[in-house]
Amino acid sequence: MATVSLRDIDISYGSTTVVKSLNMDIADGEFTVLVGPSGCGKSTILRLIAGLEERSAGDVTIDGTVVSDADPSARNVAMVFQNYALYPNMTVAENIAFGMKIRKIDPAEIKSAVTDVARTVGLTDHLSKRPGKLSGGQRQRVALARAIVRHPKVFLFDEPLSNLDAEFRASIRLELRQLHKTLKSTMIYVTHDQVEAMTKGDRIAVLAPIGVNGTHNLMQFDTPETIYRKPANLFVARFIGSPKMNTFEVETAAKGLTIAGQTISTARALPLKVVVGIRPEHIEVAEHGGDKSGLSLAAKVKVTENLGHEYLVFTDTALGPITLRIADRYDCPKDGSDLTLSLPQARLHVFDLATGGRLEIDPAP
Amino acid sequence: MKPNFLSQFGRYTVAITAAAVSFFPILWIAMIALKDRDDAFAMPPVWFFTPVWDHFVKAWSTSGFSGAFMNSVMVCVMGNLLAFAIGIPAAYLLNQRRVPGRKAILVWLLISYMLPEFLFVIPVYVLYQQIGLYDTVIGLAIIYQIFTLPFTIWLVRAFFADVPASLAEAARLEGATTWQIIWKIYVPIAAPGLAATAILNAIKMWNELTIALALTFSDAQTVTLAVAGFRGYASIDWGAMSAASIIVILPMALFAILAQRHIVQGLSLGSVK
Amino acid sequence: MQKKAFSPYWLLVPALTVLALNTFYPVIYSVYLSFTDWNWGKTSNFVGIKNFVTVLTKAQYRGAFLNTLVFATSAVVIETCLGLGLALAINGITRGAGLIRTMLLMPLMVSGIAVSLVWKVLLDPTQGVINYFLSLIGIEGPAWLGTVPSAMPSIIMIDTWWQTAFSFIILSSALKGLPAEPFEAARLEGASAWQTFRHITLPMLKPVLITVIIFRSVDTLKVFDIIFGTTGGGPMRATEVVQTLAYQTAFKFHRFGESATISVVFSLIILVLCLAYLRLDTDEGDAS
Repeated sequence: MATVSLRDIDISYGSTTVVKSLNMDIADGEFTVLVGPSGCGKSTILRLIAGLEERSAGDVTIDGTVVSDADPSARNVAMVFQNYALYPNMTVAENIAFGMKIRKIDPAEIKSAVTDVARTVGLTDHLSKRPGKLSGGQRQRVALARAIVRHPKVFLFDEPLSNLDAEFRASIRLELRQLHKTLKSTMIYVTHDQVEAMTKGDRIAVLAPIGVNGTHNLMQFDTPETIYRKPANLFVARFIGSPKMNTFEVETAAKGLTIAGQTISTARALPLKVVVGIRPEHIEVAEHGGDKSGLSLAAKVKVTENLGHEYLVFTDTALGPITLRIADRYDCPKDGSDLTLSLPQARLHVFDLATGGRLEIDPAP
Repeated sequence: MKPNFLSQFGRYTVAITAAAVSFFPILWIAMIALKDRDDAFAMPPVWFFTPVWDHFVKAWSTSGFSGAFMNSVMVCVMGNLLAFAIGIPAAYLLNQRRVPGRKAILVWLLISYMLPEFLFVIPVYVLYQQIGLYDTVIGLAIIYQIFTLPFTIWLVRAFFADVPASLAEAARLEGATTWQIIWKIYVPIAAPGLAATAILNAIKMWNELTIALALTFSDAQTVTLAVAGFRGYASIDWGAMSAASIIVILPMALFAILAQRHIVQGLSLGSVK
Repeated sequence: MQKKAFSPYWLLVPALTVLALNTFYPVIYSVYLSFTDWNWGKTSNFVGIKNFVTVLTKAQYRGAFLNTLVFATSAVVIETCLGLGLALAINGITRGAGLIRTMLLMPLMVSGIAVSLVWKVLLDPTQGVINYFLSLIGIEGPAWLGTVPSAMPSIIMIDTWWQTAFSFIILSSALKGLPAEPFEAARLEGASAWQTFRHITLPMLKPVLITVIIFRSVDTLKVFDIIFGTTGGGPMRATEVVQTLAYQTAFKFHRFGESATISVVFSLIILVLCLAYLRLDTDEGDAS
């Protein structure tokens, strides 16, 4: 149970900078997800908190104590690795007990702790097996048990689900949520999968490779709702959501912007060039009789994908290619057919082309 | 694919011929060692005979032979213990990518392994005479580190490289020291590889001639030297010499039979990685 | 709070100490000796480069270096080709492969001295079984180790018997480790066995092949045991090599300075080979 804060963290290897000017404050008991494409430094940050990585500048604080130079063993954090990192030469029970054995804890106490935690994660029947004899899901549980048994201040998860089958993944994801509710511990979770991030985190930190803007990695650190509804910049807008948000460049007029011949006047002046975005699921189709108050846009269907519960429709428009999602209660449009799209104004996101930052456009009265 | 009988036949012909050529000389010597004097060099050869053990008894009781055999066992055990005690920690550290000077040390090890024996045999001879290590088993075990240590570090490092680094990291988080990580996690996991290394080390030390020739005289004479002694007799006793050869070959041949897989793996790792 | 443990360099200290004692001291001492006329006596005079001049000009010494070169080149070429051929043939075998491998491995387990004794018996001109076999097919066997023209080829043959397994094992493991896809692709494209070998197997084996050749080159250049055990350098110096020369110069004639000079010159040659290997190793972009 602890807060974690990162202050002005820089991490570089030789001339390669991986993390720059990172500031984050994680509250006690919070489930935080670090998400981003490969090379964004998310695992490096996790390993820095664990003490497995050296920082070039800045400080790491756990539970109010600066631990930047402390040995990993002195930080009282537990980590679940992507490949589980189970000791193949030890049984499940020995794996769970290893840390306590090293600390020369009384064997009777170790035994009862191992029994307890095995019950929690459902490993009671497997305690005398070696990891090689376990399924992926069971190995995952051993790794979890090994973390839980130490009552750490912070749990760190490094892409723990990426080696699992889809079906296991869903159930373990649920169990992790459950575990977080029971233990109320601070947990930090790294993933490259934005769906996993959205479903799991109290707050999500979206990270970008340092090359994206050159000054820092952290693009946005907020609740899943805010990240989805009000992405702070173009990077976050494009990274979160599947399929990706549609974006197109638009030139602005004195007090407004013109999209496909229709002008939206805005209360404040806009930069010369902006990027306008709209998520595929927010586009209405006029032919389906939905809300037609949005900007209307003619589209020609290029190709469609049937996902069962919905269709993905890829179209060409005056603004460029636009992807939309249509629920399965409608018929799937034929390739080459014409549609009239309606883009609701309230669902539009506007970003400064130069900086990528979000602009609030408050329509003029 | 249709099994190609002709190509299979060809492969087996090559394989069996090669195996026969490899094995026949040893078999022949074993036969001479077991034949009586009249049969040994009878032409045409006598293929069926009642084995006699006289030559083995004679070879073994030749002065110094059994002592030399024990010396060799001791040298192999001590040389391996020494190489493992100092080589395993070094191999662990050199397995980490971010150790400065790692490359230079690996090159140094390779050079140590490749130096010709007579470059260091004379200086070490002089030194050992002065500090009392000349003609001692321990002295031999120490100087054998010149090839045993690089070989051990080289191989053990390759075996350690197969252990995921996250195991060490997980153990560190749990409070294990580097020393504990090496001996409680890496060594047990790499145990089969370590066994292969020990066997290859033993074979090299058991069979070594040049250094033993220069640095021992009688007390620490190795079995290989003792066998060499049979060569020098005015009238060669072929039977006893053959028996002595078989005695020196036998332990290593047993290794080859029992640990073929490990030896092959060790040898290949050493030169492929 | 406990500070982060210092990078555990001390793990290297014992190994580096032993390594330093075992290499620095002898190398420096040998280099020093190579400039003296020390003969295990009381006096040891500085003689400049006299030993080097002797080593590089005296016909006997040149002969030993030349013999070493002939031996090493022949043995490495024969053993590598034979090892590769055996690896290619035996890798396609399913049944009995373990037994065949063990039998092939056997000579490698035998000490050079035992190898010498075994072959002295087999190659004995009058009582040896090899000449008996030859006589069965009507060939009068040579005196093998006993005459100048046949001695060196005999030694090369013995080394081939002894060490081919080394090349075989490593190349065989390397062959097994090759990915199957390129071979399947080649078969689909209708490549012949030779074309597949020439354009797929050989290029993929090249790094390992180079390693094998370098290691065997160093080992064969350092040849001592099987010559010491059979001919001792004779007849008429026909099989005298650098290491037997260094041995005799020091331990028979007590010219330690000169012997050290031979080894110093020889080490330089081996060092060049070592460095060439490391150069190739990095050129291949080796990941280890």
